[in-house]
Amino acid sequence: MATKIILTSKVNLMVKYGTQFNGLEKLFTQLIQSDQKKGIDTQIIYLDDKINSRSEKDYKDAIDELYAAHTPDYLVIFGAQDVVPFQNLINPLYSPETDNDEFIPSDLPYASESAYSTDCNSFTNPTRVMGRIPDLPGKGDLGYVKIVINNIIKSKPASSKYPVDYFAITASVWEKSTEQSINNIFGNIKMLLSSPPAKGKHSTEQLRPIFHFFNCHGALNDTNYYGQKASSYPVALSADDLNHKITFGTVIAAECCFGAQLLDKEEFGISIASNYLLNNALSFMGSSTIAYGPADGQGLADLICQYYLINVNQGSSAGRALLEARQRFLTESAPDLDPYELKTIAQFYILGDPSIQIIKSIPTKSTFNTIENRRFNLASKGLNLGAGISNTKRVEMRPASSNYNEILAILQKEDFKNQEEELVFEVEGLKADLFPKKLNFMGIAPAESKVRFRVYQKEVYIKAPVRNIKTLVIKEINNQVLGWKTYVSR
Amino acid sequence: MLAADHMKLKGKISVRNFGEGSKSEHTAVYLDTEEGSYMLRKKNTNPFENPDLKRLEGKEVTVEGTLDKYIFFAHTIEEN
Repeated sequence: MATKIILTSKVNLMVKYGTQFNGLEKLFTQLIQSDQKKGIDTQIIYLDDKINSRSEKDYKDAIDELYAAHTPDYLVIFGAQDVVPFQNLINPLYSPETDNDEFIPSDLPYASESAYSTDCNSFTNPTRVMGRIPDLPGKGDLGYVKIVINNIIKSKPASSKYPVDYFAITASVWEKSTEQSINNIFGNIKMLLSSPPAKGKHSTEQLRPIFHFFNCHGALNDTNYYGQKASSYPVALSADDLNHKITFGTVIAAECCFGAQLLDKEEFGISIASNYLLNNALSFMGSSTIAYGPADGQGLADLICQYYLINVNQGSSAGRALLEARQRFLTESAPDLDPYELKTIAQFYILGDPSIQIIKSIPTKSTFNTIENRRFNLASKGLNLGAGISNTKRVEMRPASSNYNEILAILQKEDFKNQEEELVFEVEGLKADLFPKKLNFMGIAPAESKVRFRVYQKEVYIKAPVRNIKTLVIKEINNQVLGWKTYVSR
Repeated sequence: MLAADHMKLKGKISVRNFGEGSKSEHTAVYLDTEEGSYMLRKKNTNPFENPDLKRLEGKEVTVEGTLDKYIFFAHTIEEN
């Protein structure tokens, strides 16, 4: 029988729900009974005797201790950030003038064996199948929790089908990139909407498919996603558009900035993520903060979101789909992550029960795989990934490059003027012991190499006041330029 | 995100780019005060299109509202 532990804070819930707390415990009991019938042995565990100071470190330490004690197949956090906090990781890209997120609220540390840290680099070794069943932040709303938990109880995997129906919206300016993502997930782009012209208020029929995908703008403490064409930013989806229109079992991936934020309903209105779950969606993947991706290629948010939906459609549970997506993203990015890749792995999380299987896996006669084997393989892979990925640290004293002319040529090729702010990141030594001393690539011995990323950002004025921004990341090893990437503005 | 405290700030309005290279990049309106610079938004309006706020560029104002991280959500704005 599979095992699941649901971790939460009784004290925080009692303060939040008052006399309704008993109702909450009844719902937990119903979920445990329902899981039993589905072959999952579920326990609710209150963290309170392990979180004396209620610091984020307390929560991380307590959850690590309980995970080690139980080694469950599914690790679940119950509650929004005011019940069990996100772990605030330091944003390596933070700059008051460019990326204003000082911290990245993250659930990634809870999915890792690494000890508490605020450094994203510590958590490039995810091993745990985990997710968060959120309530609404702020005032306790038992009615909301009742719907979310009853939907988990009612859930059962849908049959896979081909072609897969989906609902997807892209900001018009990112059409090329989104077309590739949608093709990779669904095999066609027939149902992809572009905004503009799409301007929210979608019909029940449009929203009917259970796969939803968004590559749009999003904003802090805002309840809409936005399209873009030139200086026009129409509402592409409003939280209110979802009311009574979502098919039971819908799963969502949103690349948008702040796409999965959980808002105090009374202060800001219900967030899109919260309202999806209220309207019978079962799993929502999105970002806590400002997210990135190229305009006409594939990278960062494009990748982790599409991996998630692909995994869900192949029959992974929501939690396993996220862990596999994180590991695939790290595998593609390894051995050294640029700072945008670090932010991406830290900022995406899932909302909903991670043990839910949205789509039935296709049975095969030739193979059989136990959940124990899947968990063992994922844990081994995560630990190996962590061991092979070096830390990428921002360097305040920026070293000059001995490749000045070569970098200048790249800047010119990519239409930079060499006047832009430069951020420098250094990879803290490759894992030298992994490489034979004799190994040598074109004069570069990996065992003795030093990797450096030089990051430049520039504005391209297309038509005032609209600005297109281009980010250039140049990779050097031992002062030799090995390549570069551009993340074009969204 | 949880509710923030109300406060009153004095400063000058400027217009600059926000979120370079990101999925929320746009031309934003800022309130530059002696203590720091905050992105200015009005609740329940499009955060990416803010012609009413942009019209105040260069003006000294007093803004009442709530501060959340780097965003000041304006409830009232008065020109000084």
